[in-house]
Amino acid sequence: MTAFQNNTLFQQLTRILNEVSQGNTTNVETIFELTKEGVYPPEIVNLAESFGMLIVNIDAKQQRLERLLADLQDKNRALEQVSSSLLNANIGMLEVLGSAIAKRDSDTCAHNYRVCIYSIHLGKVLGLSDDSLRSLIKGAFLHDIGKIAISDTILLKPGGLDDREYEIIKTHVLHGSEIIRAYSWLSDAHDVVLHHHERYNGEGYPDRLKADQIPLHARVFSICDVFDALTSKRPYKEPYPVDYSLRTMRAEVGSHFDPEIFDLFVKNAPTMYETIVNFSENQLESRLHTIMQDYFAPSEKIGEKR
Amino acid sequence: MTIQTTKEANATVLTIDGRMDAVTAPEYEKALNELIAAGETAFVIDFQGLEYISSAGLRALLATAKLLKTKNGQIRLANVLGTVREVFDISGFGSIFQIQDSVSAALADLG
Repeated sequence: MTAFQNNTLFQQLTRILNEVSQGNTTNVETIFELTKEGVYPPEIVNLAESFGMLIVNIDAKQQRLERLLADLQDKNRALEQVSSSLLNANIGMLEVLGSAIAKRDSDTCAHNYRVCIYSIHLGKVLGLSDDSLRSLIKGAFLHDIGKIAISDTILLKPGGLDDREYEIIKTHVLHGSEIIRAYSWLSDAHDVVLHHHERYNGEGYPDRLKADQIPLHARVFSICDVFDALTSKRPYKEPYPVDYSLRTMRAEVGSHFDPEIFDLFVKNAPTMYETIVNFSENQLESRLHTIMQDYFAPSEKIGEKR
Repeated sequence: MTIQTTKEANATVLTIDGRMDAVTAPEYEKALNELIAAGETAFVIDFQGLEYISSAGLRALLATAKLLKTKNGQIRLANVLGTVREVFDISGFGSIFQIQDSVSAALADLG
């Protein structure tokens, strides 16, 4: 091979390497062609082999990365499935527990569903974060869970309760708080479960908390709870009209209810009420289920804000 | 380079002798591509008699492994020794290919 041919091969190799370094691999085969011993001069073969190794190295690393990435994606998908089924299990448990106590107390879960829907709505117009709303929903769902620990003779007693019986009924908030504390996913329901019978003037129970000492979720919930008790049918009464119910509650602002939250509630109550007043128990359940999926599934699953 | 093909119960064994370089690597690629096209998905490549592997040989190995991956196939290497082993370690092939000490171990690994 002449010096001229040698020089031409060298120029060719240089040109291709320049191309490769700029991301163009169309002529990369030529590099491997030039590694043929005995066909090309040794100095060209050596150079081409070095660069050939470099290219193979890069290809090998890329292939390894692609496999790692594919593995990671598989694992991630599996993890997402687990986390989603875990979440559904948690939501399902929340719904079952809430319904269990509602069924014990009355023959329908409708009150429980409505207070949840009202609480979420009020929490939203208050500007609560998604995290905070999730806690509020859990609390609303389970607010009376402690009634499971109250005997039927007192819980279902027709007519009024004497002082001793009333003291026993009042322990349901303590029982409830104990029950949910056993499971971390439920523990943030605590504020509502323990404090939903506190009163703004400090005359409620169990801790006689006053005003801002009462956790925000409990102040929100107690308004929704009383509103639904007034506006819905009970064994001992027909539903009161919305404006009458709100007027009755207005008289207890500052003694029972937080004034600021109540003002906000009054602005929204008629719309909230109209939306669901004619819903059957099943319709309420499915509405609430949709809201729950919306609040829990997307954000908790991937840990980011909606 | 010579390639000897043996059909075992759960895989096809390719025994490579000689040098695997830019001149001979196309033969390896051709042999393996034909077997894959014929429906074979499990391979053991026996490197006992492999004297030398160049960048072009490694490239052919990568290409067939990649093709096999798309067919959900499997490949094991056996008897990767001496300078060939050194080249494998330097190029990071050790982490891409599953390497066994013998053909029987590779066959057992394929299950």
